[in-house]
Amino acid sequence: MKNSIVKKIEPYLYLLPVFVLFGMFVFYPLVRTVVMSVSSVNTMGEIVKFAGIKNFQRLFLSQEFWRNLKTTFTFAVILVPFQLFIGLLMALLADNRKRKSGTIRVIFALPMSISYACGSMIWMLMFNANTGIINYLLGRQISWTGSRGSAMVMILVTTCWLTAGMNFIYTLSGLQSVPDELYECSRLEGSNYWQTVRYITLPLVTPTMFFLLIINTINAFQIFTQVKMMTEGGPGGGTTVLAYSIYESAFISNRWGNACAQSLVFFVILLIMSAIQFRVEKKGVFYQ
Amino acid sequence: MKRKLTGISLAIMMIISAVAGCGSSSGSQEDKGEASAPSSQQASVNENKETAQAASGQEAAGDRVNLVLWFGLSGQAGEIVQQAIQNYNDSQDKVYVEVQYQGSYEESLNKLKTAMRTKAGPDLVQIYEAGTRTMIDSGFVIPMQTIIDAYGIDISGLEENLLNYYVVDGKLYSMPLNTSVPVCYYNKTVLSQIGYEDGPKSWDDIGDISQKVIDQGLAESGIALCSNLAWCFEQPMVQQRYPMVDNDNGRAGRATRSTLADGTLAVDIAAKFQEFVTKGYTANVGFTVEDNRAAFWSGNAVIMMDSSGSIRASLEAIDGAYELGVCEFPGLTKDAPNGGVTLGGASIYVCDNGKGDAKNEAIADFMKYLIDPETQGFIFANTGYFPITSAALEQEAVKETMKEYPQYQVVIDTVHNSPNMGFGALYASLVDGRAIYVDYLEKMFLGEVTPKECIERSVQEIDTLIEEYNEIN
Repeated sequence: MKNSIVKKIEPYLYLLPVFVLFGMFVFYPLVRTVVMSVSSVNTMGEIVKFAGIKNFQRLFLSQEFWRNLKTTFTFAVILVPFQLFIGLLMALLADNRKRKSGTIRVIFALPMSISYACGSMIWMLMFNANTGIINYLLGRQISWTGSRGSAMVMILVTTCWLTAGMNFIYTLSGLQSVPDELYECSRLEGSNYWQTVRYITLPLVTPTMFFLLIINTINAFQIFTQVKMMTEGGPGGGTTVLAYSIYESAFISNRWGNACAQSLVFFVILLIMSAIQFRVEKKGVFYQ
Repeated sequence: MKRKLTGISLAIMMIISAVAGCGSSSGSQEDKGEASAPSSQQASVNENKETAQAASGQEAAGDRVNLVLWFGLSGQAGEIVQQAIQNYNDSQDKVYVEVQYQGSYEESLNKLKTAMRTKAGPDLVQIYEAGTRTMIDSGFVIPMQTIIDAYGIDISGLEENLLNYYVVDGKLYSMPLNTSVPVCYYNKTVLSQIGYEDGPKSWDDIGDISQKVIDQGLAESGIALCSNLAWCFEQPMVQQRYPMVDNDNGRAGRATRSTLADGTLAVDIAAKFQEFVTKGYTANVGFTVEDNRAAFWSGNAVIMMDSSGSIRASLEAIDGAYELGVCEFPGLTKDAPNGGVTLGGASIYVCDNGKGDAKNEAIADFMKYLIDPETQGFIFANTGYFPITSAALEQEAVKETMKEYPQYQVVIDTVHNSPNMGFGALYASLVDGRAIYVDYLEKMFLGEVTPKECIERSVQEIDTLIEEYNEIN
């Protein structure tokens, strides 16, 4: 009898530390967000009364929300393919099996070591309309923060650069796991470099690329630091993405109910995106 | 079985040690029992050490009353104000003001709200002018007037125009600490060549100046409009006592709606900006504050509106490349009524954190020190933040500063020529309201909305914010 009770309790005891930590830092905030999203919350962050779906109603009726959602999707749709392509390109360049390319790899991976805030600051200086090197090199005076499109380009370029290191390292590790025999076979069959890349390398790095697709998509949706540092959501709210809008609502406007409602919508979108991606995975990813 | 029991007991011990935050759990029961006495002694020794360290760091000794002040001013100006407070701590041994930097004013305000829910907030807090209504509505503020009345602090020498901003319902809610005013910066070297050596007097003048400098190739553009777009939009309304919200601009009671669209002034201001953008008078460097300031500093634009707190920084950035002129904020048109501008900066609030009246005497003493001409003179001479007492201007350090930077005279004139200073709008959603019309003004510049739509849509959104706020606060 005693034995069976101990047996039953034992696994839970092992799980307890993790549950305590997850409970405090993941589950409690999540539950609190859900509760606050259906409540009227005063600027002090105290729940005043139950509000039902009022916060969501207001959110869905506001033009800003839909605009921000559109901006977020636009960012992700443009950004992710570029990120994957740049990572792959750099990895292909650095993946030389005959010659050691350590220095090149370190250089390619370097952006990883710079924080998003510092990186944004550096790019902001480079994009400066008067004194920035980019306008100098282009020989034109483009006001990068002056229109929605150019402000977006600015953030996209910065983000591509900031994430290039990570994408490069993962893709390179994927490339290196492709066995030498396959390359040898393709060489014997007389295929050229591009054919090898197309029929051998790419199919075999799809698991890595798929992983990067998910990570990059989620990161693209959560883009925040660059927007905060470089445009503060401007001009005219043109680069206000969902994550920034949540931050503004919560910590600047103290509209906690609204911020929580936005967070939940955001959460659901990311959940759906991940589900779709896992579905697609079954069709397009080749495991050895 | 034994192994399992050992496993379980180890797991329990690990949890307990993790929760308790101490790692020494080895040894038998007896060992532990013996060790408990010395370890508690050890703990108390450590505690004493910590207290001693804290005391040496804070110089808090004996019966000194410790006042915690949450601070939100960073950079050089922040250091100077902190230095002034340290001087106070060094000058007497009854009160010790412990300055705790809490990040920006917004961050301070957010932390304060959380802390005050459990009354764990500081004794004093420095909050920016835009947070005035939020502080008053919060209910955790003891009006400064209470302290002033109870301890007979003499405020007769303080600038009435300045104090009026913080007076609501006839009570002074906070003590201005660092005050700045909006002023107009101009490139004197260029403007002297076209007959405007004293700077523009109205926005019409700015149009004329812009046209001339562009025509004559003296600069690429006229005004760096977005160096402080919100203030550019708001100040002409203050000058003409045109309310932005109802209930006497939020001063007779809580605002219930935006009144921007009640008259035509707001649209006129927006239309004026739009005209400047269309005619190419404004610096084409985007909408960020930094880029616009840089445009003025580099000579690309010849005029910008900014806080008087930026005079020192501007002089340093320009570094003698041209002569910097500073003049009072211009009126919208030549004949428009002009009652002056409202202020920026921050003030100190007394928090009702459950300490009772025990610390009020210490607070009063500290306030007396803060408004002392010498203290105010020290802060003004080193930062450019306007002194709240005119007596400070007689200080030797101030006179020297004025000689070195004659531009500061404009700051003094602005304060004296601004009877409307106490008319600045007060509503809890002020910061958000600002963000909304700045957003729409930018959209107007991008050609997405007309000046009229810009104001109408702003009003709609601000009304929603105010309604939401009043409903739950």
